[in-house]
Amino acid sequence: MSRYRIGIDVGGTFTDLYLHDMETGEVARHKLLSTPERPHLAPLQGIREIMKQVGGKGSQVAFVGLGTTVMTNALLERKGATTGLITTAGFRDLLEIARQKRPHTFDPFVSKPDPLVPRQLRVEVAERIAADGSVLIPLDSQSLEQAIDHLLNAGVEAIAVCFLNSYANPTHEQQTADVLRRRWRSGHVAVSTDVLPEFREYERLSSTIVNAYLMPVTRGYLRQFKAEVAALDIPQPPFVMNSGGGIMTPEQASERPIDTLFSGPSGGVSGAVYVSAGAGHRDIITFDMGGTSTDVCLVQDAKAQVSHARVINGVPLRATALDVHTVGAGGSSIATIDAGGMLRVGPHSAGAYPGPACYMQGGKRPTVTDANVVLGRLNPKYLLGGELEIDAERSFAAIEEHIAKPRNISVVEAAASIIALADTNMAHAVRFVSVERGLDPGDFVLVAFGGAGPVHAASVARQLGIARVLIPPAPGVLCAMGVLVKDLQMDFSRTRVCRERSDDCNKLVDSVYRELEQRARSALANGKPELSLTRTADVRYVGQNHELTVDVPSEPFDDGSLTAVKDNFHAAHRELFGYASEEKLLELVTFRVNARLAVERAELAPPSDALQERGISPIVVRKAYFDEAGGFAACSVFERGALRPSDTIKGPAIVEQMDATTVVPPDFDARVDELGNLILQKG
Amino acid sequence: MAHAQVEIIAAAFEAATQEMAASLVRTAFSPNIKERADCSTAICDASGRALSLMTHAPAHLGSTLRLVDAILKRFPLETLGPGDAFLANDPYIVGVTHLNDCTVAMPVFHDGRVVAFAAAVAHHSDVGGRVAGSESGDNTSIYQEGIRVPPVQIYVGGVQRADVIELFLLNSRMPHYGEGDLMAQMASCVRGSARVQELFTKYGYDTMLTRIDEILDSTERRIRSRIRSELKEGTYSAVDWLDEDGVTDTKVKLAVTLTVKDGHLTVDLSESSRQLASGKNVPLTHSYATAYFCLKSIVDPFIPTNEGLYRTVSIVAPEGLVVNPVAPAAVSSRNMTSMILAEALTNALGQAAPSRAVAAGGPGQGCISVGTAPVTGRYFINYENLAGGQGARCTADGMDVVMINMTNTSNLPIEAMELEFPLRIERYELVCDSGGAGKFRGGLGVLRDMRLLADNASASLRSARQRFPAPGLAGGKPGGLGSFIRNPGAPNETRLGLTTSGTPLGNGDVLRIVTPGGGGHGDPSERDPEALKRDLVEGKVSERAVRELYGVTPT
Repeated sequence: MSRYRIGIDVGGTFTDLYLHDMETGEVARHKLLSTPERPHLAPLQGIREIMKQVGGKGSQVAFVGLGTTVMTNALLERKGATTGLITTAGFRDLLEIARQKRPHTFDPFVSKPDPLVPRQLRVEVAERIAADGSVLIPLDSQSLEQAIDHLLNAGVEAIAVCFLNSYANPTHEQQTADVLRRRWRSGHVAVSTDVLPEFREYERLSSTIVNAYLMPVTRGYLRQFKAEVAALDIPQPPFVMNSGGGIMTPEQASERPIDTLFSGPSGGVSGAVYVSAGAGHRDIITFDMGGTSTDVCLVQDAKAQVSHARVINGVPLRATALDVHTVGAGGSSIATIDAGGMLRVGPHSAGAYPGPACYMQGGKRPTVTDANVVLGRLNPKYLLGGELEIDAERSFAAIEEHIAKPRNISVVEAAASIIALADTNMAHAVRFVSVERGLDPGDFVLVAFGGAGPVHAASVARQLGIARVLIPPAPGVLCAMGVLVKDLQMDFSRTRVCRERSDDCNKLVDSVYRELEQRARSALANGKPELSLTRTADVRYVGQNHELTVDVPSEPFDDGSLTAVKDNFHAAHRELFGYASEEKLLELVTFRVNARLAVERAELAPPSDALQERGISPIVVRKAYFDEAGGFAACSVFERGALRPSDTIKGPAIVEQMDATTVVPPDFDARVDELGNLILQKG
Repeated sequence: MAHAQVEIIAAAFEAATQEMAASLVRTAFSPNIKERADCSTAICDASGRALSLMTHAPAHLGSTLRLVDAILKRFPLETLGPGDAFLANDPYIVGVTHLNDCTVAMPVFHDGRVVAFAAAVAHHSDVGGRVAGSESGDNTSIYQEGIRVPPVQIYVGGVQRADVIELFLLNSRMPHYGEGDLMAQMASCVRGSARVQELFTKYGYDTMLTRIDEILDSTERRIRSRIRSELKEGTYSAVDWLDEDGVTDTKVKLAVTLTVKDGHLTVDLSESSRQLASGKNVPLTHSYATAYFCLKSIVDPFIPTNEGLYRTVSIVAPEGLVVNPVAPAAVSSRNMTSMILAEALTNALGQAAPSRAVAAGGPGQGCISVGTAPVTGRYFINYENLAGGQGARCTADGMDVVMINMTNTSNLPIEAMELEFPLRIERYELVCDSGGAGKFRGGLGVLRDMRLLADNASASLRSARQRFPAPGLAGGKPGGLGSFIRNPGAPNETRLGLTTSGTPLGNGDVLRIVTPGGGGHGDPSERDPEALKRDLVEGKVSERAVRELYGVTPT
């Protein structure tokens, strides 16, 4: 009876749904407006509407997965809870002192963000743990009670607890949490050694506070969503997507909202990895270009790199997330001529509002999108499959006034210059991500999605020596699809600095991994054997201050495991930095366990149409500009929905669909593969 | 047809130096580069003009001004070959700003000729000399500041000159950092070199030379045009003071007379103090870096750094001044002096552009603590710089506890320090009332107590604004003073000197560092009552200050 699986992606503006019918293999997609004021409404409405679309019942739904930016937006818009902090005496200002850097080295007028917890809600208690975990000053229960009184009287909704060196000995934090839970049953409490038992106090403190700040919002939202899903007769409770490329239960997400903050970009990457791996491409670079920003992620052997440190609007976070690099440029980036006569694209953006000049919402400055319109690459009358009417004349006028006239060149030349520079900037960004890992982008397939990705992908690929570009069937709802292909997954970590050749190194490492795996089992599987556990460790040379994360063989940890870790570290160091110093001693610093529980799912089936070569005809022919064609050339425009596997298209051509436009330059060919992906190949 | 070719090539140079910098920071060994990114990377053309310079440390803005020239004087262009690389660190010869800034440079070949140089400058933790860390305000000559290296060849045709590298490392107290950092600099240059070769291969030699001229001219045009639109033409003067010269108690004058005319800045420093018998002298290239920094931050923070920017600033400073010393004057502690120079310059620029005026701030206070860990017997050096408060801006309060002007480096994580070194941090907090009162308040400084748990421990200290506070602007009040105190509150409490090297600290002693706050901007009585109330609730301003400085009765 359970036949439908539904993935949902709640964005700031739109909510996307992707439904997979496991009986027929068919898929359905749906898009509706988000409801930021009551965020659980849009996904529920979406479920109702997409079920109506396929004529199914709630009781037939096997799986609902929710990717959501609600928590991210609450942080960005500072709409989280009134939060208090309990910390070590002498250190309540750590949050404001931070790393003492000003946000912009060269502009003294750029300010730091206000701290999430104001000074009067940061209270100190007498206690102190040493770096080796020993207790220097025992936790003073009287000062703790006073601290709690102060915060509760001030009306806080959440409390973060973070003591110095607690990663080495969490006892005082746990005692504090016990007292808090006893005195404040209804309260939201985040304890640093639960959120992130790793060293470096400021980053742990900041992460713990963000978690506390978002707990009330998250719990209310997910509790309501879960109840309403049940009310639709859907037998299984929903899952929530996390930043690390997995899913978690609403209860887990409510305890750890910090793990959901980058789930949007991660969802896109997961979807991209899934469709590409299905088509046989395991080494890819994802290129998700939207209106205001572009996300790039490097994927080797169908595994996205993972990072542990991120910054969101000046607030540092340490939480596991796919290593997505964001560049502040997209279709709405504004082109200007600077005071020296140089063309610049970005960093200013017209955003979604007023947006590009052609949107007719009052935007007067020319954007990358306007340049694409002038060059005939985007439809001159409408975008979004007809939902957004545009005026090409305004693109033309904006580029003429701001770029062509000051430079004394034609509007077409100006537009071509904007695109050339925008593509170059994108290519540099993609290259930066790959060379940072010591890799050559030419060995990868570029997977383009987001509204603007497929427009620019071929040109960016050409500059990077990338021969092949893949455009998924639904490049605009990839995140919603990504939710359907995830496993239940959580990450656990602990810092215990352990120097190679020290006496009890192996024993210590072994006990840390056992403890982490125990935590994983009780959190995820209730002891189920099918839980898959992967060990990694952050390792460095003694004296180095940054670590590399490397694989660690499964238990028990002995000299052989240590040798394997060393080999992995030296290899990784060589790959990243070009050298390794094998004679130097290593330090194992932070130990990590990734736990994964496979969720039952059917594979997404290819479209059932028989594969055959056939002639296809364009819906229209329009002129589009390409340097490679020496100017404007007649360009066939195809409707993506009409394309079938094995169809081939010679560039120059344009493929339009509701959520994206794909540009096939003259030196590229496009072919539809068996799964419906559009593969652009350099001729 | 080539669209936007100049822009695309300019972007490629910037991307190349960015890539070089990322590579350098990630591969380096010493915390000073890894954690604090105290380094810069550059591409220069064959005649030494900077085509792109990338740095997070403004002190490095002029780090390649004389580099190529100094190399070519000793190793003529026609004698260079692919795979060669050079090392240099002498401020009087190559123009880096102190001996710690060791520079690696590599000629870039295209079609058998040198078309460019890739350079990576990195602050090495120790290059020998009188004190650990090599920098000290009370050095009396450059011979006390470490090994002086003119341009020497460290790679010949891709083969390492092990003898030269050994000589260099033998002079360091931290050779393992030195070696790792040097290799990271090499890797960075190799990467930059490859990027430049790609460009020359793609566009050809002649086109590249034309485009390079156009790039530099365009930056020059841009900054000139910004100077014309942002700054009122005229002559503006400002004076600020360094507390003392590092040897005697004499204060040091930093005097600026700025003339803005025809999109050009002439910075006359002739009225500044004579060169000092201490390490607080500022080499001329560093004075230039200071001027470039102030110009950028007040007039055009986003302008790319290249030769075009350099063309719009001239400094008038006769030899023998604190801002243009003659060898063998010591220069290792030049940064504190250049901070105050930057304040005077910012003040003068603010007079020319009142909408971008920023009051003087509290520069970071430096502390190098050394000692031996009692258990392991291991020697350690802990190099730190603690931020003060930013001066109030004409539109907003100064930021609390941020690095200002010529530096923007982070503090070290307490937990990392306590793990690594035999010391313990006991307090780290904002200093109430240290921000100068004003319509916009100056940023607060901090107080930090550190207990040494080491044997044979000592501290070398550097400071500014412990005697003369950051002055306010437009009616704003001065910021709080900094101080160094040993064992505060104990019977043997001692106020330490403003510039010291090797001040002994017993095992168990506490070293308190208080950093200065920023000056205020505007009349305190005009402060928004809401902002004042928030300050009071947050404990950033005391009731007494509210009454006495702001003239308001707290409710």
